[in-house]
Amino acid sequence: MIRPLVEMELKGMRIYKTFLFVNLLIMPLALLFMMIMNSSSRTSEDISYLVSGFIVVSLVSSFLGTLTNRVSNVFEPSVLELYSTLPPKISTVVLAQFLTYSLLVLPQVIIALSVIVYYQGVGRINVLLLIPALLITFLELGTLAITIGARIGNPYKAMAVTAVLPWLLVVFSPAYYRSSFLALYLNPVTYLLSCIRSAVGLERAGPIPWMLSVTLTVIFSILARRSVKAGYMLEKPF
Amino acid sequence: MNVIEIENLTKIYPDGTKANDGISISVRKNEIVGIIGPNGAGKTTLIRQLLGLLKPTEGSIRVMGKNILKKPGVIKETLAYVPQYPLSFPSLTVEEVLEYVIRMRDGNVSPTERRKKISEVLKLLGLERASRFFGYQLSGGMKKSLLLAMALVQELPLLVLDEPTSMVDIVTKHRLWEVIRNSNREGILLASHDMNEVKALCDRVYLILQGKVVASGTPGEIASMVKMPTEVRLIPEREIPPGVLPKEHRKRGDLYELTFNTLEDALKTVDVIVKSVGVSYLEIESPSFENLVINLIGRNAE
Repeated sequence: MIRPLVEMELKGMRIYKTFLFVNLLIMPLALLFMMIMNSSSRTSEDISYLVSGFIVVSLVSSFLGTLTNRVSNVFEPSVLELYSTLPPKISTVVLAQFLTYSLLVLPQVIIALSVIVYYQGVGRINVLLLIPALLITFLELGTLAITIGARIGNPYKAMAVTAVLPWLLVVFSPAYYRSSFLALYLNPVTYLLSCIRSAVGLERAGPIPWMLSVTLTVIFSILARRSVKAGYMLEKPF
Repeated sequence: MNVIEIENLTKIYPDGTKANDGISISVRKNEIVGIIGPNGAGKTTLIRQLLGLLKPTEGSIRVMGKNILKKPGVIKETLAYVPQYPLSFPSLTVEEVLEYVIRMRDGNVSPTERRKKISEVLKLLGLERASRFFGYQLSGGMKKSLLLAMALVQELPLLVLDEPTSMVDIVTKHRLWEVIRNSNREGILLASHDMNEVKALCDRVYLILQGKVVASGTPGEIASMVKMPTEVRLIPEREIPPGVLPKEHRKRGDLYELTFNTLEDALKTVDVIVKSVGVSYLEIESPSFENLVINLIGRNAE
């Protein structure tokens, strides 16, 4: 059931292919290019720091930008009505959307990781930490996006959130600058950055960011599951 | 056996609005049943409960003998639905949408069989030439036809249609009616504003007003519930004897304008005139089904 749904989602993007190509590859890679071009005035660690920030920012944009909008579209009453008698459950449709956007953002993540490996050297990368760090980042941001999208249930209203939330999460996190300002620790993205940076040898692997990120992932997963598994999906004030 | 059985269904929203109030509706095997009522009558709430999207406050809904509150899986297994809104998948072609629906319903259907099913349903609905059109290229009528195609291609026993021909041109409308009529389902429940549609398709009709069923029966029975004046204009071949004409009549040249309290009275008099003096021109303005329903709704609202 998942495969046709993922195929449907990917095929559904055909008419936006130029827009997607620019937004998913040209613009992010242009940013990456500028970071690399700036390498002569910075240490390789500085470059890796920025590129690791780029990985998380890409995931924030993909999930909290696009996925939230797509999920909110599925939760519109008229679309829920249509899917109510089609074979896939809403939870399966949403899972397929999460997988689709994970696949779409994957090239950026892989290219950015390759840049980090180039500057940091393979020896400093802890693969055993990197895999769970990426997994937690995908899951935490993905489930948060699903929860928000399902709760809003209206792509027009969701647009207001998706225009502001990723921006806030990125600006008030040490993605592209170094800071230990306390307010940044209210932002879950700060901890995800710490997890990824500790896995690529840019930070010491402390337990707090990991514990908080895992806890938030569990909480968002429960909330997302509740939203997509509800029996009577229109049984809420609207 | 009733393939759909809604018993004493009541739905009260959290804000206290009673959208359905003790509604009982049944669809017998091989029957097409219509639900009619004005906007806000409670039709959408009723359908959303039938689709398992809203929880009834009271009452029960049985689909193919199974209570959907206890076995919600029966909805997806037996029921196909055509929504009111002309939804579409903007960047998938008509053919692709149907292909995915078949694949999701049964992953084991071979590509050849899939193509055959798609081609059949496209032909049936007159969508062959639009098979490669993307959703965003479809007209309102084509979108509605595609939604019906999506429902039919799944080959499920029951069909629930929510205003299936709204926003559709008259030619497409008649084509869709024919497809629905000949769809060979075990039961069809149709909610509509279009009285002609209900009259053309339904074996029985339920009239809903303010969340309650206020009348039910065949379209003919509904029509007989209200007596409405009927006007007849005719030119007889010879002079009409005075005793035959009703009290309310006018003569303008050769043309007689007669007014009757009911359609039945009008037809009886016309029959007498035809047999006694013959008629060279005849025009009967009888109450439309639409007018009858408006009248019924008006009476109930009072």
